[in-house]
Order: sequence, then C-alpha cells, then structure tokens
Amino acid sequence: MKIYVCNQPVFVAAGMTVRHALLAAGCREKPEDLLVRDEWGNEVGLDGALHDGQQLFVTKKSQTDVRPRSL
Amino acid sequence: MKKLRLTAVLVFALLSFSFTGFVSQVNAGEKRIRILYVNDFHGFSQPYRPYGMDDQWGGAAFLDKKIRALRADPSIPTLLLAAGDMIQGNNWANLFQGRSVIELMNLMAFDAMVMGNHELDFGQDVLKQRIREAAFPVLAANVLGLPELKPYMIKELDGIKIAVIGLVTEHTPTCTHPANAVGLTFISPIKVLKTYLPELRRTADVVIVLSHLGHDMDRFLAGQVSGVDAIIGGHSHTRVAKPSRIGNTLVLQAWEHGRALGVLDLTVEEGRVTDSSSRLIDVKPEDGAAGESVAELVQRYQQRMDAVLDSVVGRTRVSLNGAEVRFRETNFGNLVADVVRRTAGAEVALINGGTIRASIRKGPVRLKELYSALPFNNYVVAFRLRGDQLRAALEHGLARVEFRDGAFPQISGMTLTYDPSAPAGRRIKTLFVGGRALAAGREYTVATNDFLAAGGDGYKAFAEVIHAEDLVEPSAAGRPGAKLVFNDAGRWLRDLVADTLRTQGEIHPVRENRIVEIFHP
Repeated sequence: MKIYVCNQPVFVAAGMTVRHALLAAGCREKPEDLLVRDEWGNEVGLDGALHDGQQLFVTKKSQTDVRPRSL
Repeated sequence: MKKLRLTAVLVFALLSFSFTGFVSQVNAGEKRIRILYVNDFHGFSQPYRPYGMDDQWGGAAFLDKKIRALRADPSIPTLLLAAGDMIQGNNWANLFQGRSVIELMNLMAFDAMVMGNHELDFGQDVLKQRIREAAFPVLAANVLGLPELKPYMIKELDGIKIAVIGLVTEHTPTCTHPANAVGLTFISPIKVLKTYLPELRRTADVVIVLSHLGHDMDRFLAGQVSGVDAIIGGHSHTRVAKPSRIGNTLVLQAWEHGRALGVLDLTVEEGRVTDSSSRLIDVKPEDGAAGESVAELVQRYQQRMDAVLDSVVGRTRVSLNGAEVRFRETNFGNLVADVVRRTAGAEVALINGGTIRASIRKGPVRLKELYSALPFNNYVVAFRLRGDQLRAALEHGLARVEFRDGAFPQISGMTLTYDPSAPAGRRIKTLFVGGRALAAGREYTVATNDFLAAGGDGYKAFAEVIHAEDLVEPSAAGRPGAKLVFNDAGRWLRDLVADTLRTQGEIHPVRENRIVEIFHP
C-alpha cells in the first residue's frame, strides 16, 4: 500500500499501521513522541489501520502548532 | 462586594448556559436518545501512561464510571456500542483469547459490537465461543460463512426504534493468518448497506452503521449511501473530536484503548432525527471510586494473568544469549529466527538482533521471561525477494556491526561469512541458502518481522519490493499474492516462541556458524 507521510510516499504491507508508516518514512523520533493526524486534522493512534493512498501528517508532540501541513 | 456580586451573576449565567447547552429543550412529540460508543479497545483494561505523556489514560473501571454516570439520567435512554477490535491486543485480553474482554463487556452492559478484523485473530472456533459468551449481538452484515454473526439489530428505546447494522473491513483476510478467514466471504460494505438500508429505514426511526472500516472509508460510505443517521467507526483509531456531517450522516469515532468515550445525543420526532450533538469524553483515572464491580473483574483477570505469566512454558538446556545479538550470531537469535522461518514456511529468515532484549538462563523458562526478552508486539511477515535484494538487506544489517546497534541480523536457513573490516555494503564474502550459493536473480521466500518489513533499523529491501509492485499494479502492492507470501498481524512473535517451547518441552539451541566473521588483512 502507498501511504503519504507529510506528502512523502512510503510503501507498507497490508495490515500495517500508522506506526509502520512512520518507520517507513524514516522518522527518527520515537513514534510515541509524535502527534499524527489524518488529512482532516483528526489525531490518529499509532496502532490505527491504514488504507491505500492515506495521508498522514506528523508533528512533534512538543510543538504547539499541530496543524497538518496541508492546511 | 460589587465584584463578588458580578462574579456570582456571571457564574450563574454560565451555569445556566452550559446546562441548557447540554440538555436542550425537547418539544412535545420529540424524544431524545443517547448512544455511547468506544472502539479499538484491544483489551486495555488498566490505565496506562502513553509514551511522552505525563498522565495516565483509560482504564475500564473509569470508563465504566463515565458510562454509568451518563446512563443514570432516566430521561434519556441509552445504547452502548463497540466498533470492533475489542478482544485482542493487550496481554490482559490475549492470554485469555479475549474471554476477559467479553466478560467485561457483559458486565458493562454493552448492547452490541461489530466484529473487527482482530476479532478473528484467535481463529473462528474461539470467536464463535466468544460470541456465545457475549450477552449482546456481534454484528457484521458483510461477512458470510459465520452464522453466529448477526447482520444488524433493532432495539427500541422509549418507543424509538434504532437499527444498528455492522460492517467490517473487506481487507480482514489480508491482515490475519490465512487460516482464520477460511470459508468466510467479505462483501463490499457499500453494496451490503445499500441492500439492507431500505428494510432498516422502513422498520426503524434511527439507522446507525457500526463500522470497522476506518475513518476514511466511513466518510466515503457516508458520501455514497444516503439514509444513515450516523456512522460510528473504528479500525483507524481516529480521535474524531469534531464529527463531520456528510449529507445527513454524522461520522464519528472515539480514538482507541478506552481512552475516550463517545457520546451522541439524538432528538427524534415523527420517526426521524431532527437534532444531534456529540462529544468525546476523555477517560483517565480520577478521584473517587471507580466502577467497583468492573475494577474487581479487571483485578481478578490481572491476577490470573500474573499466574499465566509466571507459568513455565518449557526448559532450555543452555542459556539463551540475548546479550550479543547486536554483533554476532547467538543461539537465542537462531531460535527466534528459526521460529520466524518455520511460521511463515519460508526458505530463509532474517530478523534484527534488536528484537531480542535480554538473555534467559538455562533451566525452566517462564512466560514472563520470554515476554521480557521479546517485549515488542512484532509479528511475522514473508516476502519474495530476489537474491540480490536479500544480499543487500544482509549487507545493510552488517554495515554497522562495529556500532553494535540493533540492525545486526540473526538468520535462519542460510549461512554467510563476512569481513567487518571491509567497506560497508561489501562485507559479505560467501552466502549460502540451503547449502547452495545465493543466486542473485532467483527469488527466495524471506521471512522477517513487521518492524524490518516496514523499514525499521534502516532496512529498505521489503519496502522496495512493495514499491516495485506498486509501479506495475498499485492495487496489489503490499497485499498477499505475488510478493507478500505470509502476513499474520494477529500473532505476536513472542507467543510463537512460547508455543515452540510448549510443543518441544525442552530446547537446546546452539550457534551453528550461520554468521562467521573473517578478516582479510
């Protein structure tokens, strides 16, 4: 499946989750340090299921501006 | 004094406003119902501190307390729904194959749940047993072959008929062990909903879709099918704090692990919803007694869990070396890599040494020791990789051996020699699979864990395979079929190793010169 993490395409296997997409995107931070949102600005859990073409937007939890980059 | 009076007036005004905002006026003929919902609980019965957060979240007893408080209002009849993935995940659930969770849900008086994909992780027989134990229906209208599942339920609250139809992701068979979905057919949720909806609308005043499709799919569904009042979802673990209205359909979801309770209030008049409001309530440990009976049940299973973790699963005649897995072959690495290869039925297996976090002394092996040594929720996947891709993956694992990081490979079904003094990427000197020299152009089935498959520790080979598939056939990329040959997200690797010990009784894994360091001056 192709997932977009901050607009960068990454590839993961079926059944993988948000956590895997962050790994695939090479996020250096521990996934738990990151706040992940979907394209509508909803926070998603690291164990959340993915679907093909999904967009995720990532910010550090310590950052105050947590808006998705597309907004 | 004036200031005090002003403050009092303001406080009164605010309280009045918040009261009327919370409980809106109900006109004659109007009735109100309340739907409470959770999703993706995954057996998180105890409060826990998510990494990077200061406070604890969740806890079934505290969730129950909120639910009871909301149900205490006799003027608003209430439904309690679960949007799937309830019985698998946390040890508190897994060690009892989800029985603990069903008992909990019975105690909390759930009215219905939809089957999530992870409900199948213990196999169909176990799921059937869990459904028999449940005091509420388990729904899934788009699954054929499991008669214990009900497509929908209709419940009457204060004269209002509410239809709840269950829909689960069509991709369920691709993310559980293939055997778990044998004989089951997953039909398009849109097609099924369109089939059932006219009947439900004729029968009920309110139609709710209880979905385990993921938030994106819920939104799509709402856009494709009109006539649904609300979609209460799960699967994507989405915290929908501000619900969307797509057409006349509200799309909702309450995050994960019992960290939030969703509340949907509906006003119904003359057989249709005329008003709605919804909110998420955070669930955290708080002062005051938690739901006592629920707390007792959680504690009772916690004690049973401790007893299971303390039980001996087998014996090892030698100590299992988890201390050196980051720079050389070890017997523990061989044991785990063998389990990975066997589980997937693959020719070879490759895991990262960092999978193993501790050694185990020779003698009896307790389950908790295995869980400490293999603490991650890793599962087994297998891909077809060309020989050159497999070699590249192994070269990557050996490239930083001097730094002793977690990427160092532990392998099964193959042997190699390497020179740590050679430049990174050119360290492997010989590489044999099943006793034969690796053929660069031949495809091999390579088992690994999900961490490496996703690119963990910098391994790129598996993602590259999916990428190459995507260029040819995007809809097949990363799905079981051509390149992905095994995928079981529902069984943790540590449990597979425990099963091996249980089956064999006694083990004696040794170093076998699978990875040999050589130096060429």
